[in-house]
Amino acid sequence: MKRYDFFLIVVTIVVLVGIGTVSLGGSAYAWLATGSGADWKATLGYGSYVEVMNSLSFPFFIAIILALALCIPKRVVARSRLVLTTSAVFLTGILIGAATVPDYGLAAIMLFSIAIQSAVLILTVFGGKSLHYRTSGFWSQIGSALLHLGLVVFLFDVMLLENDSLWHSVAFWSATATITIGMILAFYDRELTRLIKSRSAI
Amino acid sequence: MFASYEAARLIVSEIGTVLLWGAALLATATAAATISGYVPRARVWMISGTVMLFFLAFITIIYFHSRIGSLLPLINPFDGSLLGTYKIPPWIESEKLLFWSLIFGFMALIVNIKQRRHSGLITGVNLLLAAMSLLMLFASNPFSPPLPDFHAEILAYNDAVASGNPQVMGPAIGQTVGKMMGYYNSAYMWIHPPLLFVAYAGFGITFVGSILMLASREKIVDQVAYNYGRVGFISLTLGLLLGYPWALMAWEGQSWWWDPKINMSLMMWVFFGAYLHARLYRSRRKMWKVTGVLGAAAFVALIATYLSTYVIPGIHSVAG
Repeated sequence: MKRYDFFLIVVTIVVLVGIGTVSLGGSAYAWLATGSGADWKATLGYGSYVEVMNSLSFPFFIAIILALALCIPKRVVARSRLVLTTSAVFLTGILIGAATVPDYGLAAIMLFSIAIQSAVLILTVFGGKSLHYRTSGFWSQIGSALLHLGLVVFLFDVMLLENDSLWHSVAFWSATATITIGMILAFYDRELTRLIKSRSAI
Repeated sequence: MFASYEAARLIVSEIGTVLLWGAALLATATAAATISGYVPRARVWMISGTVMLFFLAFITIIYFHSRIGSLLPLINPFDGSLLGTYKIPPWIESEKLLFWSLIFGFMALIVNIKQRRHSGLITGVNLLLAAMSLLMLFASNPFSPPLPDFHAEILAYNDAVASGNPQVMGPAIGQTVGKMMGYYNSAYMWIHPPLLFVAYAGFGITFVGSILMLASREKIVDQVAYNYGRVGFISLTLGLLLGYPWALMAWEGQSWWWDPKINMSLMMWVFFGAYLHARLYRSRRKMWKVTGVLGAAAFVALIATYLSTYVIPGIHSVAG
């Protein structure tokens, strides 16, 4: 499992650096394009730029969702079933997307991820024995579960809920709270444990 | 009242510039003393002095903004009613570099006190502080002159009102009130930028630690880099997240997602995310150096993001 965890981390790093490189390339292109002096945003070239950026970044965002989908079920599903589970989730998403509209397929994949991550969070809080984490601290495990859940909810919000003010607000503020609390717990596990122990000793 | 505002602007400019000169000279002297190994005991006092001068400069800015609030109320020229008063946060235009330097100065002081035996860390941190103070003084001085863009907007508004032409006054009022409410007085302006500059300050220490990680395999260097990196990442993530609803509100109907500054911010965040992921496996072969490279590259991405505001034209930019 350790080797597999490491592989997932390397994949995550490569995908993140890939997103960063696409973003940098986009900025460099925009810099050159605006340097021509014309109001670039009003030209057809700007529309093409947005399309190219969408198509270049899309595989990386799908890859990050895939990495999350691989990371998330690994904590509740045995490694041997991992590829099967992830493939099933993505295949279902693709089928729904093909049968209806692509957004519904994306929504299905993300809602599945949200459901699984919520289950992981509940199992972590109640000390589920089937769970596997890279870190051993209780608070960092809860923090990690919250952080992953919040990221999926945030991606869901950005990709699908921007035009729905009520659900966008609910999703955005839930994701922000979840991510922030998750980061604090994940990064300050030792300090938190020490604080709780010293309080209970008093 | 406008004459009083101009008088306050002049005084603030003079006091602030003197304070920044003092901070820059002291920070440079501290960096030189750290490299040469002289006056090791006085070093902490010298850094404290630099931070104090930054703090006084910051207070000067707060004073100036409070004077703007009381001396420049926006009055409707048609009926004399009050349209609003400015509540400008102290990190507008070039002032943001002062706020960043102030927070970085506090963090540098803590590193100087807690890691006093580690000359590499202290030298790196003190050099970075000196570089920031010199950069601010010569390239981005918030007091020379104070708030030039805001001042130009006020002058344009006054000219429009003085023209007495309703067709000129109407749009000028709309534009000035809109910018006051949506930008200067926006609640997001009080939260989004300071969170980012706290992050930038923390990542400055992470950068120094990451560079040292490439040179040697010392646990303390990694730990210090991580301690400030985690503060930075929490602050950066929250700051960027809170920029999202503001963007939806302020740029409604406009295309902003692939704007150069947004791209650069995304790049910076993913690079710091990659650094934190790599660090989980720093004990594995080669991952120590990968962590160091990513930590350093992420800071370079941060500098590029900061500069892009001034260089690349866009919706989130002052360039062009």
